[in-house]
Amino acid sequence: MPVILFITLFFVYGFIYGLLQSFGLNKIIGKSEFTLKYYMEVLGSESFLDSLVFTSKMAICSSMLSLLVSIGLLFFLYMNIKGRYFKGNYLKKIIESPLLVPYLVASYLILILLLQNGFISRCLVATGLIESYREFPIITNDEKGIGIMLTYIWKTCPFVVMMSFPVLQRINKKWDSVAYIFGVGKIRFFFEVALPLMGPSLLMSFFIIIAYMFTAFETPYILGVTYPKALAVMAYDMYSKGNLADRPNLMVINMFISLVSMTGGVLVYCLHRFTVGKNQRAWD
Amino acid sequence: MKKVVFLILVLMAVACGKKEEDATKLDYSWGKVEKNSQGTEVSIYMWGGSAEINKFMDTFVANSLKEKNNIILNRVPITDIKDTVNKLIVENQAGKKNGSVDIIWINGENFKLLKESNVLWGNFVKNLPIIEKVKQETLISDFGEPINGLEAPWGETQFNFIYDSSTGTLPFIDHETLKEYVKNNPGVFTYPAIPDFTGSAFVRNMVIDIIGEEKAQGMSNEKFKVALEEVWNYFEELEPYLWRKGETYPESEGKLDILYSNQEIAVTMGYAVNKASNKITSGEFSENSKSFLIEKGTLFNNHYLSIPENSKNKAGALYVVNYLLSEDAQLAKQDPKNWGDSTILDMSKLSQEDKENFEILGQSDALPTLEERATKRVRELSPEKLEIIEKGWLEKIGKN
Repeated sequence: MPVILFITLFFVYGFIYGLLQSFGLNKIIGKSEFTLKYYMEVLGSESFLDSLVFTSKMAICSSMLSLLVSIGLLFFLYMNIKGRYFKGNYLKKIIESPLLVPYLVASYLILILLLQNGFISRCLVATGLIESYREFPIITNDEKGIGIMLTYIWKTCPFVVMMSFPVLQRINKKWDSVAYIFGVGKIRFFFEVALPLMGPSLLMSFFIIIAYMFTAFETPYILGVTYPKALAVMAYDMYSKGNLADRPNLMVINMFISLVSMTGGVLVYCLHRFTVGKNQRAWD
Repeated sequence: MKKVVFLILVLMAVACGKKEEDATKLDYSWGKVEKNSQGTEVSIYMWGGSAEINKFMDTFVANSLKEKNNIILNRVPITDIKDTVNKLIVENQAGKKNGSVDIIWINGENFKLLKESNVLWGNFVKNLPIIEKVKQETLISDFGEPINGLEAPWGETQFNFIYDSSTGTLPFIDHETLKEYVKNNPGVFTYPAIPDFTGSAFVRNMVIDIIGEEKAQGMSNEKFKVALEEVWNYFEELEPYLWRKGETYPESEGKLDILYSNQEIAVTMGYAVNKASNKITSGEFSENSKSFLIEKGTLFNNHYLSIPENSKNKAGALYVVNYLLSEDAQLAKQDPKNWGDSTILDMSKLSQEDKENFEILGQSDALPTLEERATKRVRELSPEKLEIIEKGWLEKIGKN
């Protein structure tokens, strides 16, 4: 299949090439020999560990928060499923709209809106709510990574909602009347019946976004701090500025990034297999 | 499309055929260069990331070459010229004769790499008639590396600071006054973090300002490392008074510009001479923005054109390089409408008319005068020192 050929050519080849270089083989300059030296060097360096901690923290916190917000949104959509508050599909369309915006644009959007002297801050100053822009909290390029998390949440919630909403609709169609007969209220139905049934699809999207966030470059590049850097930004800096002798160290970092995203991929695949089997039984 | 491809193939075949005929007999006296380059194709490998530069090359330069000597200019856009540098080194190792690169646009580190790998055509610069009119200081060293006629200067840029002149006086004129300035105005000054190119240039400029140009240039790398301690102390002293108390730095020059146009910071900077006037024209910076230099001078550097030893069409390459350095091409290049890159020609050696034309182009209220630029300038440090500075900054200042 052409797809497989494509993936093999560009992904597997690159991966193997990187793997070889990370072990000191196939070097561009210098003598090639198998060594674990570069792994030791990278794993022992403070900036790598700080970066690893920072990246993991960002990915885990943002995806958890994103999951919570998404559940909230799903609940809202569920309550509105019969068009009680908003007619038609508009609400869903609005919630899904950030999907159309690329991460790069989203990051700049957040930056321009939330900069200390940015759009929102200026509006607040103009309305007299705060006296000077210096009172506005620092939430872009901040040490805690709030700007990064906001961008991630804004971008990933629609994805999670999109993944799980069809399940919710299906559950509602099938079980709504049953619940009604047994006198289960809407809120109880959502949390006790629908939510557990949506579990696998929520978990699946959780792993997808966490793997993405771990490897993402644009958002932490634009909204991050000078130190510690996200892993992808660190790798980029090393690639663009570092000399050829540093290449194996860079490949070690890349191997880490690939490993995490591949683990995410495998988990999603297993979950998918598992739920497909289970779903068939449950729905039939 | 097919026709064009066919045409190019035919022309390439013609160019190759011609080359084989007289490669042995070719000597490169100018008369012969003019004759032998006629009707050939010349490939120039250059960074293709700027729409303005690409347009300038594809229209003005390509058309003039076609007109003058029927030369077809084949501009090959490259994202990172290091790829081409690596390609040339590998070709050289493999002993490849008919290389595809006739001209390459480089400077600094990449020049050093090519020079050390013996890839470049020895002392071709002396064959260029125009070289007499070129500023002598641009022919000596490139980021501290002796040039030895292996590359010809094409243009010049100078580091400069930009501030809003409506606020009154110049914010600072050297590293001491910069320290006073940030202490009196905390939070309004910062610079891009290394490895950003502009941030690195700012740090280098301060290094030279503190240590002194001659001293910094002449020192051995070991002594230089020791001397830098003073510089890191200086930067540590600055840090708490910078934007965000120095806890973070903008990651790029672009971000620094955003902060400047949002008035979060008062000074921005850049390595393009006409940055201030360009950004005012595009509406990004306020009308009162003005660029300024510091007393002891800001960094300047030249960018160069070089010809690889294995070029298929050396006569053509010589002709094109000579044209790119000529008054016509240099004037067009310096026109802000085209590219706005400063010339490397020595004004005192030009005709009165050309001289006036250049001076008119250089004038803008937002920019320092040509005279000021010629006096307040310092040379770049060697690539090794650059690396020492960048590593040092990342260790000492970047990691809070």
